[in-house]
Amino acid sequence: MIEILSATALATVQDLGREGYLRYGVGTSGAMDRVALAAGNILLGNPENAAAIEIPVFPFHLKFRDDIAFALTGADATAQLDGMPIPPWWTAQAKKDQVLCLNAPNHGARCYLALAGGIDVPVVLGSRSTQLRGEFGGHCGRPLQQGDVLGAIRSTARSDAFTGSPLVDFGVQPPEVALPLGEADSSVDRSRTFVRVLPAAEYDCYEESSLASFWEQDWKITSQSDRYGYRLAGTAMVPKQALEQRSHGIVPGVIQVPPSGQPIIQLRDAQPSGGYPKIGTVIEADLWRLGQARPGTRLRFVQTTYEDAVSALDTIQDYLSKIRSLAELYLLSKR
Amino acid sequence: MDLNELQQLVAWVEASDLRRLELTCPEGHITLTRSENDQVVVNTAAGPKGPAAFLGNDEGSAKTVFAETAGLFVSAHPMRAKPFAMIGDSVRRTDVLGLLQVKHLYAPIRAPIDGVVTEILATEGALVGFGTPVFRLTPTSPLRDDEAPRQG
Amino acid sequence: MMNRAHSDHSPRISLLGTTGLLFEAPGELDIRNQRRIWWLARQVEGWPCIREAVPSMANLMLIFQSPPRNLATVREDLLTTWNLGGELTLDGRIVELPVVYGGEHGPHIADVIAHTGLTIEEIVKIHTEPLYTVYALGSHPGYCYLGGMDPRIATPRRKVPVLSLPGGAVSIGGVQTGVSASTGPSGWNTIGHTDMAFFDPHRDPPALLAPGDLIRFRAERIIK
Repeated sequence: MIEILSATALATVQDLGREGYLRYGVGTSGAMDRVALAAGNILLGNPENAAAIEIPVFPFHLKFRDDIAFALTGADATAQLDGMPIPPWWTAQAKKDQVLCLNAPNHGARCYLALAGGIDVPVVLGSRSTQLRGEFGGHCGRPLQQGDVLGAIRSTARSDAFTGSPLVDFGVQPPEVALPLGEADSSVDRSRTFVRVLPAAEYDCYEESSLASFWEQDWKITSQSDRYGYRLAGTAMVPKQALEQRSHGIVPGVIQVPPSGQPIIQLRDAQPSGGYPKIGTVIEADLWRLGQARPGTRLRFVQTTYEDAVSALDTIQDYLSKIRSLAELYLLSKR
Repeated sequence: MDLNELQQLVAWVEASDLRRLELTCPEGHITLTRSENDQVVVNTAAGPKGPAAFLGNDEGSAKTVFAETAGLFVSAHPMRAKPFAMIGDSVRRTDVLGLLQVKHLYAPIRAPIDGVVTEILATEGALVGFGTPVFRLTPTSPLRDDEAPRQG
Repeated sequence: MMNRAHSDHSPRISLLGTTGLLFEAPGELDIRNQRRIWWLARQVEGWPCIREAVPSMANLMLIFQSPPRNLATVREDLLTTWNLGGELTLDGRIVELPVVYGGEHGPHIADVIAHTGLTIEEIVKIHTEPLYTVYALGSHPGYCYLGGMDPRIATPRRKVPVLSLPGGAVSIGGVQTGVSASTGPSGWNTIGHTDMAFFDPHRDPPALLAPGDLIRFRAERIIK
């Protein structure tokens, strides 16, 4: 069990998302950085889709009410457990009454705390993700508050067969190192994130100069950017003629252009349908990069193909499989 | 005198009918006494190099940290600019000094004692075998009971 | 994906990243086209590569189970199925919603008046006249997209969306009208309010209304 000590809001319980209810107006929710959430679970031997806590605002403090193994992934929050430093992308054993402190990261936006067994909240419509608009799912359908207590599903995964103690104290390479974007590599310039985009239905409705500008400019991620969507600022997109759309389904990553010409990237808590023109879609394989791009930093769109975008998803699965195998081998060697 | 030699000495005394053996060596003064229940008890009085000299096969008062797994030596976490430990740094027991990388996985190299880093013996990115010395520390606190040689 | 003008006679199929496809029917936003969309959704939701078929206003979003390697084949199959011309008639219930128009719960009625040149009484009369068909759900849990609004009261979506409107807000966006099912942002013009629970996540199905159901708005009060 853990007890939230921080008064700052916006931390939510998420899993990989709620699929299959878009036709009732229920968006997927789920982690903004699904790679980090899945990896944290893998390190603990949890199902990949186990619920974890997404932390976007810092500092964030919590107290462990029992002994439990946990993992921290996502942004480097220079975590400390009762003052003892925990490296990023790491697993550790917490003891009863120990306090975990997460500090504001130097780069990256969101941290994920996974517990051995997964956070224990009810499954609603097939998922443990928090549906903020509908006020259900996750922990009481709302962000976490000071005093909230959350339990973990009992699990015997990853315990030593003889001693029963959990197998922890190792880490993995984070995706920013293991999944570089080739020459468009954000790790060199942390103030700029590159994401790949596939054109969407209204791409050809924009002036040539606007299209050139879409790909070439550094868009600023404004401070009005959150789980619902990222509002960008830059040279406005100009359509060849006024566009009034019918409402249609959208998915996380869709880049809408409202009349102002300043794009909005719809994200995990966005409405599952909308009526603004769509210039492109950030590919699913790069949504985690967006999830770690901070307001105030810059964004650059990179054109890609459907085939390359699908291949990028395979690359992520490959990375997750590898860390699962490596973790299991390493822990076997420690027994 | 190292630990192996001391253990050998204890074995000899046990096998003999000696009741007491005193010995002076560079590390200090050692007394082996047969107790009432026939156990050989070791007492030490440290010499000029301090109690750390009775430990293992270290030179002087240095403590060597060995790799507990094979892997590539990594001095700084890739998400951080600063290495975990640099020469001259004070570290506490269990602090991470560096990492050993096996493909995507990192195993920690942790300080076994409170100390000051005096040497970094592995090269960045080099393959380090199991049991290879990677760091040397100078202890900063007196030897605790659990680190002194015990009766055999 | 090549994009054609919306006035073409053939459907437009476009990518939503690697997550899905958007199928847009040509022609009018009317009940016949919508029945064809409902029928198409029924056909494709059984396809192995499709996780969910999500109808909206004369269009259908297909969510992939996993991105198909044979995208061209999926597009062809979609077009072929559409061209079969099947229609699905869904016999729904009639639900009446009492609405308070104008006042503090209708903050944008003035914009509708300004755009249409009609009085509030005329707008309310036109809004309450039809029996609206629930074309689809979307936008947020339980929200219904309604077909059948009189184009005389059509008003473009707002340039800057409003950050928070309460559940029960009755709005006009372009040629469409709808009622919000929970508090949240909206780019539509809110003209009134109704009390009604449209969604319960513990029910099966969780939404009160379904495509094919019919809604009538009843003017309970008009506040000028």
